[in-house]
Amino acid sequence: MKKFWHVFGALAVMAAPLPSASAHHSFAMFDKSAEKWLEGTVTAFQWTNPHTFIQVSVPSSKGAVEWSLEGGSPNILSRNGWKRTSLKVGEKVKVLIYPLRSGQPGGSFVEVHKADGTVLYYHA
Amino acid sequence: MLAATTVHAEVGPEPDGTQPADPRDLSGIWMNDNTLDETLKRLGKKRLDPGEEEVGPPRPTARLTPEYEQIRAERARERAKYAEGAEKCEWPGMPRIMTYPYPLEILHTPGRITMIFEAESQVRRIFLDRSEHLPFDDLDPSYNGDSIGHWEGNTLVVDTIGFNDQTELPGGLPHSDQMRIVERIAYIDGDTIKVDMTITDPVALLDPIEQTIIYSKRPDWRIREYSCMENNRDAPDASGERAGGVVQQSIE
Repeated sequence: MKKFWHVFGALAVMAAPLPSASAHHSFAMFDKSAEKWLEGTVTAFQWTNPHTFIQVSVPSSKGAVEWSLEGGSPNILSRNGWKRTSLKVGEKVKVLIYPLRSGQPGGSFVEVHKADGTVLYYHA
Repeated sequence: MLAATTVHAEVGPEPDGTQPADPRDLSGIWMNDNTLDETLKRLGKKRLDPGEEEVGPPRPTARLTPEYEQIRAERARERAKYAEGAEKCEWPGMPRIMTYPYPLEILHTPGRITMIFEAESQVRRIFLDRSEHLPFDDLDPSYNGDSIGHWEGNTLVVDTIGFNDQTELPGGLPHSDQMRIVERIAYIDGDTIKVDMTITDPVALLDPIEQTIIYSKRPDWRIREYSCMENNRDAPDASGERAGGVVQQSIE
């Protein structure tokens, strides 16, 4: 692995919140301290910008709940090993998510485990 | 408001002693080494952990004039009307396009160097065949400005003016149409370049902003399409909520 160095520049700065490293929105709406596993069936895989979405139907005692799981752009995911064909409607998945703080059925997907044992990571 | 001098760090590959075949040929596909995804890869991490909202170096920020401090505060109040995570689509423009988490391709053609950005398929044209900016009447305010460049040794020096006020400075700060950006672009080894950028704005900024951006060559990558307009489910609706964030009928 390549060695890395730091390039320093002297700057005039004041205390300010750090901006997000994300191109679109920050991760603040997701609760990373409340990670959660979902098991269900893919109902849609939106391979679109600015974010991909995996829709997963998860059985519950009151009926199935459709979760909207947001991920990185196809541009980023494709460089992390994903393809637009990585997930198919109807396949069973187990997904690690950071849920929405709002309590709505949504979150950021982190890892997607497919039935054949393949694991897809948001960040590879 | 107290100003302080601090140190801003960018992480890049240690110069490996290699040299480019032609130090005045910047052509190729380049990626900012300090994006979130590239930083996680470098750290061998597959995800953000709690408390690690901001991976990577802090972006520089600067003191604003009182007038622009008011503009910043007003924009922040408007922004606060949106729900967490709600985000419109906007062209990043300069200088943000240079630190976006997507690659760019540099092309050399006679009299010109062109940067084609993956993000929003934006383009910067750097004119080497004129030494003056467009005359005032032709200098339409734009997201990426009017760039002219020349070589000082093996460093490409790019001077850009003619901006609109729709883009943000590092740290999300506003700027005026008087912003000027000077970039000094040079190889630090055979497949790494460094951009030293100085941003001044006599109307908005009390101090210049200086930032360094390091890009590695990615010969195996291709520039893909990226339009935020394609499927922005995070766009705010009339009430500021993420319009398409979740599916409404949650119980079947």
